[in-house]
Amino acid sequence: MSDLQNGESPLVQIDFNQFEKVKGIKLTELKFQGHLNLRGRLNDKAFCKAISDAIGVELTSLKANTFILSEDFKVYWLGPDEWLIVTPPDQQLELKNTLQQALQGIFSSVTDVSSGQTIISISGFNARSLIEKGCTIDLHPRQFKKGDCAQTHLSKATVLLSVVKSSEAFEIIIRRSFADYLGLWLLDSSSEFV
Amino acid sequence: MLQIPCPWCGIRDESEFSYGGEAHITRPLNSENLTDEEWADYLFMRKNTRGAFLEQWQHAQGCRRWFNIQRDTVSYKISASYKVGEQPPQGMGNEK
Ligand SMILES: [Zn+2]
Repeated sequence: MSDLQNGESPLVQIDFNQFEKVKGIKLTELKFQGHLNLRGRLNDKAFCKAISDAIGVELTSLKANTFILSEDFKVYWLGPDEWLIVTPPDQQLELKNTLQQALQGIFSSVTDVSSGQTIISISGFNARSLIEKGCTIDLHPRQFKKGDCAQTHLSKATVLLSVVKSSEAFEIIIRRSFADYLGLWLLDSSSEFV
Repeated sequence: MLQIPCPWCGIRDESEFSYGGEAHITRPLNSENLTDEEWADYLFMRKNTRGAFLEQWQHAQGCRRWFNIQRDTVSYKISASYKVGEQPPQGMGNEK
């Protein structure tokens, strides 16, 4: 049972209907996804094998600042010994148990951080312009294309920004305590496209 | 704003980083045998180099790793970036 079953999204106060008036921007929240933080050593073969057996991802071939889709799971590079696994709603506990079982006796950790963050999906022909207002990373597809991700700040809030479709569709993973602020900032910043 | 090269993430704006002071200061292994003066020297005394300097930074709002760079304290030009545990560029080291 997920403890999020009867929970509220951190973006509960943001009126997403207001984004319907905005041209070239579709903004939705991917609510209640499972978020697991994974840590371990890449030079530990047992660790890498346990992960590839469990979720089918070879961590050694996942480049820095990229993510990969494996079945229902998205795996993001966060650091040389740290990854984020995003699962569909209510699958995180099962995956966490599977991983912890597979990683028994191996120097590693799996932490459920699902209730600590949420995901905002932004797409459309103005999506890039909107994010560029508060982000210093070059979002042009020659620099930042499908499959890339970056931990950076968006209007001063720490985010994990990823490209679902080059230049057109992005996902932002934001801490719950900053979600409301970022939601309001996105609303305000998109007003020029109404 | 400085543009700082993180060994994992590439060049990012200074606002993503936090400064960690002089690099390559090792904690003495025999701390219980040190005099107060030697311990204070390890804890508090830092170089104030004019010119090329090896210093620590953390990519605090990115990959959160510590790393070292070589930066000129006059021109602010950054000429090397390397991971913790790696050796500084050849011929380079903060003077003792
Ligand atoms: Zn970094």
